[in-house]
Amino acid sequence: MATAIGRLTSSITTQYPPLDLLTVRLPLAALLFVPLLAPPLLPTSRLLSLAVTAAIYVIVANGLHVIFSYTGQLSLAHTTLWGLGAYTAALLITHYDAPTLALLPAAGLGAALGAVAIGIPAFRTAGFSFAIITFSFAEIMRLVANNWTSVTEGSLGITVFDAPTPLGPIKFDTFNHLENFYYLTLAFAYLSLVALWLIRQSRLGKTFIAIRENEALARSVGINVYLHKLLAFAISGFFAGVAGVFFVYHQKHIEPGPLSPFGAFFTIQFLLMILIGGRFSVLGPVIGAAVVVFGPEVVNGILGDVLTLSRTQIIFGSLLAISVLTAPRGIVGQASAGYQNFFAVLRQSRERGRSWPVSAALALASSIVPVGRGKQDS
Amino acid sequence: MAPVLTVERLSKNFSGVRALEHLSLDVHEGEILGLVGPNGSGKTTLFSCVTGFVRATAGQVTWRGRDITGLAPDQIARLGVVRTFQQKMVFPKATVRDNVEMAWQGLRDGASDRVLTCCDDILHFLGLADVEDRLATEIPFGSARKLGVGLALAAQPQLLLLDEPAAGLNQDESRELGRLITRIARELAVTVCVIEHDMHLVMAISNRIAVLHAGRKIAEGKPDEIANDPDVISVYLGEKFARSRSSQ
Repeated sequence: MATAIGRLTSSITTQYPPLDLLTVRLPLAALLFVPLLAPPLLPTSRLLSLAVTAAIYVIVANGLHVIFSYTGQLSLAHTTLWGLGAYTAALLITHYDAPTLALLPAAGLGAALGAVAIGIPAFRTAGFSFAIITFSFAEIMRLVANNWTSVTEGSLGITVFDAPTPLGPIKFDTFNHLENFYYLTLAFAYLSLVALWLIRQSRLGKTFIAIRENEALARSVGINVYLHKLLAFAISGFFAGVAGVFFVYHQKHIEPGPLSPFGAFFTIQFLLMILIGGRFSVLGPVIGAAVVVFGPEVVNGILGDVLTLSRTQIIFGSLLAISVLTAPRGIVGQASAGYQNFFAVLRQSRERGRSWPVSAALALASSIVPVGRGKQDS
Repeated sequence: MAPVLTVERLSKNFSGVRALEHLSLDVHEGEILGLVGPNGSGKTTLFSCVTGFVRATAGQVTWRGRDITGLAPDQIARLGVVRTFQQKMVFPKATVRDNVEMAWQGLRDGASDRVLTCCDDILHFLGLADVEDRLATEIPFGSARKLGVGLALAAQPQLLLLDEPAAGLNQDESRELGRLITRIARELAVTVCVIEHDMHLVMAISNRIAVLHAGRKIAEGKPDEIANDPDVISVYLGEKFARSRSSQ
């Protein structure tokens, strides 16, 4: 019996790659399908509306991932591009009654063009200067939206009552068919995730990462750094622009106020999502968006009876700060490091002749507080 | 043999400091040219000016009959003139294979005669195929140096400018790197220009050697000519090389 258990543990601990599939890849893949169950699981339309927001945020954050995480450029104009897409959509709907299928590429390209327009001067600089210049452009665009009243209606903003074009008998209006609208948005969130993954696997993605890791070296092997930064910025803008369409359909309104996408505050929130979720993983922005949108609800659900809303928000904010401090590589990075540590420590401990329960306890402890760092999965 | 790269009266001032002064140099097709000189003699500045990382104050660089002075580094690299770096020579957070894949920009047009046609070829050529899954920061320093050369090879150079590829290596590693450089010239038909302080290495692998001192070229010729050049001995090689010769 003892030898049988010993053989089992040694087979588990020495051959964890096949187990890797069973214990990590499959559950992770299954986790990706959880959002499909949101409508039956979420009791109120307010929570379902939050799920829509999360899905839109995923698209926006995935776009930011391309320029910030892959290419290593700290853009503070990302949500401005999102707003640009939203304005493009709102104007096309109110003036031309444009169908959804036309809006998506139009808003995407509009934001991508905006990104190129900002990028052409901004990428002549790097680092902090780049961040400040993008911030300035974000402010300029907010002011333009605020003052160009003949087009944007100024601070009143544009209100849109239209719903997405129905697909045969399926309607997508947010009043009576919020579920359908959620699934439509979710489909595009999935699509953006697939696009992100494809970019990461492609030679283009490797080029972006080469620029992030060592610009001079990238140049020396013949990479046109300026052009590729522009391209990454345009791609990231396209994601944001597409998300702008769903934002307008969902919020029914776009204005250049401080809490609209036209504020640097909002971009910071998306940077936070990526830091929390994990900068080095394709799934980072998804996890981060989910945490930022539903985290306050969870904290409020637990402590809401005891504390006021502002207090729970303080607690949630502190949790975020602690998370960034203790898990610099994000939830995904920390989890994968913890997983690798678990098996590494388990194997080591068994090799040193410690008993099975002691080894398991040690392994568990080291997986929760990873001592060594796991292999980087940039 | 006709020169492929011609450097004509190149000068570079760094806010008053004359790093290069009217330096002229030819690199010939298929040769290994050693570039030696004391620290601060302008060797790396020369590489930086030739590859466009630093803009020369005056002078001209001609590559295969084309004036490449003032072109951007990536343009010059795509024309076939590729440099390596003394420091930060690899992408640290990536595996060995990812490093090569990040540098690999696809086969260039008209490169059908290339020996190395994919990343696998490069890894095998370098002898790094066994460690392809390890992080670039985890492999021995000698292997990291080789990888740095490999990244330049991934850019499919016709002229390779190696900036102290053996710096920090022990004797065995240094000798192995010397063999790699010779193989690059012979098997890949790549012209090589190498900056190196290890005199044994330079003497062993170079067809010709140019000596720089205070931004000027003070000698140029075959290794044994350089070794016996009185100017060179007095300025740079001096006792260091005299000692190494007497110990042979």
